[in-house]
Amino acid sequence: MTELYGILYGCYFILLGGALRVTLSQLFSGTAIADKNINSITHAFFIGIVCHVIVFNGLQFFSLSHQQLRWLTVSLFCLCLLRLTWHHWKTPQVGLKQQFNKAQPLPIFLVVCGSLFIYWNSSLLPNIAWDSWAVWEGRAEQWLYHGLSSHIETWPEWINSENTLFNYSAHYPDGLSLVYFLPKLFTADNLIVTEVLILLAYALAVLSMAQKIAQSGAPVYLQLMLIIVMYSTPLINNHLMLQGYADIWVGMYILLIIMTLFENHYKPNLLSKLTLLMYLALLPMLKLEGWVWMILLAAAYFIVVHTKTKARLYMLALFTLTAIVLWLNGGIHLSFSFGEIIINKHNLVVFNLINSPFEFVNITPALLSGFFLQNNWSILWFGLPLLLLHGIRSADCKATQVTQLFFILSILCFLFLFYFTEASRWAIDMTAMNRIVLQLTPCYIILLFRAMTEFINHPQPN
Amino acid sequence: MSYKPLYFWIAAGLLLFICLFYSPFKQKVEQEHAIKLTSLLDTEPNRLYFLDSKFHLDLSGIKRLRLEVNLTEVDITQVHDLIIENFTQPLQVATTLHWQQGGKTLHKTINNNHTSITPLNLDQPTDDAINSGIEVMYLLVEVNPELGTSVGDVADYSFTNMYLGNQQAFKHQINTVAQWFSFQPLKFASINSYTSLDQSNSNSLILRLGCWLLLSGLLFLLIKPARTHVLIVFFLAWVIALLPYAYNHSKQHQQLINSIDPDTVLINQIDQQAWTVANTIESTLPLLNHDLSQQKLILVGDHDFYRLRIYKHLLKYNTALINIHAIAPENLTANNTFLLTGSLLSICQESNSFASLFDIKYVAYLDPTLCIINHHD
Repeated sequence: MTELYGILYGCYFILLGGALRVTLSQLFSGTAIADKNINSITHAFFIGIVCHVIVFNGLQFFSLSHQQLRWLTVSLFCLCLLRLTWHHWKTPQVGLKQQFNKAQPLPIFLVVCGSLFIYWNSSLLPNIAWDSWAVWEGRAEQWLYHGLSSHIETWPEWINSENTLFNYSAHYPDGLSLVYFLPKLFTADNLIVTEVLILLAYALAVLSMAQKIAQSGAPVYLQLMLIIVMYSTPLINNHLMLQGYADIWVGMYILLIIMTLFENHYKPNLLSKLTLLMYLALLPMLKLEGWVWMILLAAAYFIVVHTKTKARLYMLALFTLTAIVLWLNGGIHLSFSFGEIIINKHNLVVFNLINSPFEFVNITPALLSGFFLQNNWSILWFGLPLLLLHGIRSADCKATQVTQLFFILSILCFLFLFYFTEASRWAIDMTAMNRIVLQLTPCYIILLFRAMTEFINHPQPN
Repeated sequence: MSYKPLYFWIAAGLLLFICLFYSPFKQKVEQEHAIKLTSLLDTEPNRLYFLDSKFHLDLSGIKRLRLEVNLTEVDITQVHDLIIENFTQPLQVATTLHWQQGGKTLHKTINNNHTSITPLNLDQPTDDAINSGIEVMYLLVEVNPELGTSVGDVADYSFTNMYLGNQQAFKHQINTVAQWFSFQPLKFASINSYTSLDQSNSNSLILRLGCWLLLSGLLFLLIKPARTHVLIVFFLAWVIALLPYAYNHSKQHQQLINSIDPDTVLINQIDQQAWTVANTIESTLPLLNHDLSQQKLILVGDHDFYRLRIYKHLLKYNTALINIHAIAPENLTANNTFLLTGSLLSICQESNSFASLFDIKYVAYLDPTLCIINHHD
């Protein structure tokens, strides 16, 4: 029965996102979207989560009781249902048969098997990951007991104020905690609800991936292999089983951003661009690293789409010159009411994101161990050379260029962070490092399978 | 008809066999250097006994058992592995070998399979401990080390032989395959990596498959069969890596069934203790005329698992967990109730360096697990 609540929770997101997408589409392009394929449902689901997080972040400004919140949620659910029913009634629909081809039942079957394979173990587990029960789910529990509008602070603020709650990671973003909060309002057995939700989210993301590579010409066996890879990468599966960390969610959103980029490349439209913006906006609401990924994605998009080769060279020269001048002048120190930016020979401070002295630590053994010895990724990262070769060959596709540039910038950022800052300790003790890689892995997998698709479809030289 | 695919697959198959089973890491085996541990083990009386040609360890009623290994005057530089033959270890039990070398305490989790071979690298210690001998060595057997509240049946912990040595050459290939299927339990650190660092060893299946992929790629460039074949190589390698993973997943299922009580949200036995302490706090504070809705509860101490779980169980109240050094004298007000547990209980029992912060006369409640301090007037 609790599993049904999980599916219902997923439907809530699909309705929320679906209604918003339909409305936006009519508002901006005058035509309503009529397709109900897996890709649209996936976008609706993930946009629904963006809406939910933004709406509930907004509701935190009002002191609403739990009963009022329940009514508001049910009303929102009904409103979206009405909107979509109205849309369905008014818009000529493309038949389901035309949208689901004969090849699709097999990937769906495999995805269901993969989800059950994980659920087989996860349904037996309590919430065991530390930051999960203490921070992400922990904060949702604090809201449940004390009200959604309660302020949550760290020690110095908490001890000196009257109406705040304590959490040692109060500065972490709210997104995932808000996803945990709603089931707590409705049912006591809420861990299974969120477990079903995460499996549903992942299943939709995987099916969309399979559909995307099918559109670029992948045969069915390649789609099936993609699904097997997605459901048997050991560390990804661990994150699906031991729920409660935001890394897998960040990974899924980066994946969706990449897929939306390709959609917009092949069929440019305003809805895709808005979808892209909403996904980008959610990244920093899920994890602090989200800021980095958001900035890198925006930078990669700007550099590839809005500049020409000459301008890129000027930008590179300007960037290098600025870096040299700043270095010679002792660095940069900017103070704002909400934080500081300090970059000099000794320290790197960027608001709440990072505050660390510069020091080189050789993390290569830990890095190699994480990639190849601990069986986190099976043989996945041996495909990297193929991906890099593919990137060089498909230099004419802007979406591929953006993705490749983002990927390279992310890897450079990752290496810089772990080799030159205090983050190295998380590499040496093998805690956060693999989780950062996890955030980029779904994106890497789809790029790899796109490269494989092009590899087999490319005419072979004799 | 083109014979290229045939040539490709014959060569790739051969390479696969070589990559999976070739062992470049092992030196010549010298069995005479093996150190038999069964005669050197020292533990509580009647815990280790010999029955039906097997050594049995009685784990009933205990959580941790230390088996001392008397290693005086033994040259350990000739041995590479800890080998346990016909090893039977329940899934909710973990065994680790601990030793001190060059002033450092090192440990290695023992692989859990029928012939357990755990590479130790005793002759390659940490940089500052080169050529230093073993000072102390012991085996630690722990029941439910992290996960699960129910102990289940842990009766059958047994083995026929345990020694420090080198695995026999003719058995090596079979044993290498067996190590890939070693049980990797689910634990807290599983969120950070699939296997812990001390369990990743040079027999890594992933590295071997990586070598095969590389060689097959070169073979592809050489023979030039249809491109699909090189993808099939990748998928085949994936499926080979998938087999131990899927097997381990089913073992983890058994682990969870054996150790997790479906009717509780408690994580393990330490969490059960934390839950009891949280209940004591809940029931005691109203008796001390403290209105819990008006009080700030300050749990004092490090962010260790035990205290964090107490904090978690007290989330319905306005609770904080903070290190004692962060507490200032001005925080000692009537609205703040301080909760001390574990080693900090001594503050409530005797005067010590923290006495200037907490005054014993304000101790409102004290039992062997909890101390409550409130500076009321």
